[in-house]
Amino acid sequence: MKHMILKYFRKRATLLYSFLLIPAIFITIGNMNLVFLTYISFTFSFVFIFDDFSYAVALPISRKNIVIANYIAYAILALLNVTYLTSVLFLGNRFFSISTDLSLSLIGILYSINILGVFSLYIPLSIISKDNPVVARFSYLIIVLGYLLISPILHYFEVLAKINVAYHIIFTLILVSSLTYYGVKTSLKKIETIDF
Amino acid sequence: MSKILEINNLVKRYKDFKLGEISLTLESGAILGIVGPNGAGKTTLIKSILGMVVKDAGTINIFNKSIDKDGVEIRDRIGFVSNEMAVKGLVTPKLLGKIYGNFYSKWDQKLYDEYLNRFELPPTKYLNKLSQGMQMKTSLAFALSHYADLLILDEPTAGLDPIFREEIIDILLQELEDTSKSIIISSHITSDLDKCADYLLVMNKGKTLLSGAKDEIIDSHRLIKADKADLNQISKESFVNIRKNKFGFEGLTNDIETVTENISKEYVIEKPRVEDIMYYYCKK
Repeated sequence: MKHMILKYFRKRATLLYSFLLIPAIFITIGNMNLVFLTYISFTFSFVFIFDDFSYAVALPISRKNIVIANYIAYAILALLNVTYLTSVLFLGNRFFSISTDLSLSLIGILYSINILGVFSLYIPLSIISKDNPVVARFSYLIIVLGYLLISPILHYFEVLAKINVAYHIIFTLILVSSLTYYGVKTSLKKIETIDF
Repeated sequence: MSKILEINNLVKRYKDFKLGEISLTLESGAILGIVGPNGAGKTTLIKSILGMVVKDAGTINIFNKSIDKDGVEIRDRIGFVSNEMAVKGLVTPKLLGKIYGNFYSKWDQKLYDEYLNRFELPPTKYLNKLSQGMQMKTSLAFALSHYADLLILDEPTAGLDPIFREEIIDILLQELEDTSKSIIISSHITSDLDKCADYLLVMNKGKTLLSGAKDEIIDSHRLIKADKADLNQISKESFVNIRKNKFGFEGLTNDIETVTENISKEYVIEKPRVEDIMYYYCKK
């Protein structure tokens, strides 16, 4: 499984460079909204591990472990993103004199995690789409769904900031754990019946 | 010799295609050639053997283990070469070995590097930038580098030049010097199977048309070329199938005695090639 996770990151090394570079450019411009948006976009592009899924099932690895490896890799990536964003906010504040309200930054991070949770649905969707052309055709709509969620959040940051942070944390925990539970359960069930 | 593969009454149904029922066995140290036209079910059969598709009925045992229960262990001992190089994009032959090789318990990186060198493959060039032949060579190098007991090759010589096709056949025959190994090849280029196959499985529309030892199949069939008038004297049932042309007819028979007794003296009789066997059985 560790090789599967390693593969996940190695294959996306080039994307990783852009992932680090482009937000850094926006930080220097001082537009934090673009930073959030950009790194979420790049995170989504990392999810495409299932592009070479057919080959994976020909390898000596169980279908169950393929799903688990994908989720672990995605979780690591999400964690790296949050760490990266926190560092960016700190460095932006410290060295580029970008004034960032701490509660706004925290909400930004929490809702970024929520969006990452929504995007993780691409894993079960890509499995189902292997033998369901309708799902295959519309699975990319998950991107639209993600952006539909993020747009009002970016727009009404100040309104959200008035709500106690604890509620945001609880909401994030419930949403992310529900999506992960549903995603893992569906993926494990579906992958056993899919033809590759 | 021990049985390395045993398939019993395999059935796989799709919306518009049904594979089966297929039953076959393969002994260690033998090469099985699977032939048939496009859509015959060759790739579905291979994918079923590897556990890549979920079968509807039947059993598949490899190395005396069930693919349903011991798939991981079985695939660890199989080298698979696909006609479509499944791993593409930002992967080089070198990276392919380093990442995917680790999945195999007997992976030999040094051997893989030797094969890359022998096949003159650029180790640091992305796979999607390589020609189809080079991609196939990479896939073959990978499959040969973990001491697989069973090699499964799906259209391995498609898109390759004749020199490398010959080289592949030589490599496969070398691999068989270790008699515990077996090879399954599905191929459109039947001349390759003429050279190396021990057993043949002729398929069409998901069904087995013919299976058995290649030499026995060829010895029990003959290609007859004669005048059209002779067709009136011989029952068409004596032929697997016939093909008429302006000079006469050509037919494949497995009832050689009946045909030769009833035909005029001016006829040509030839040993069929695998291609002839496939053509006449699939046109039946």
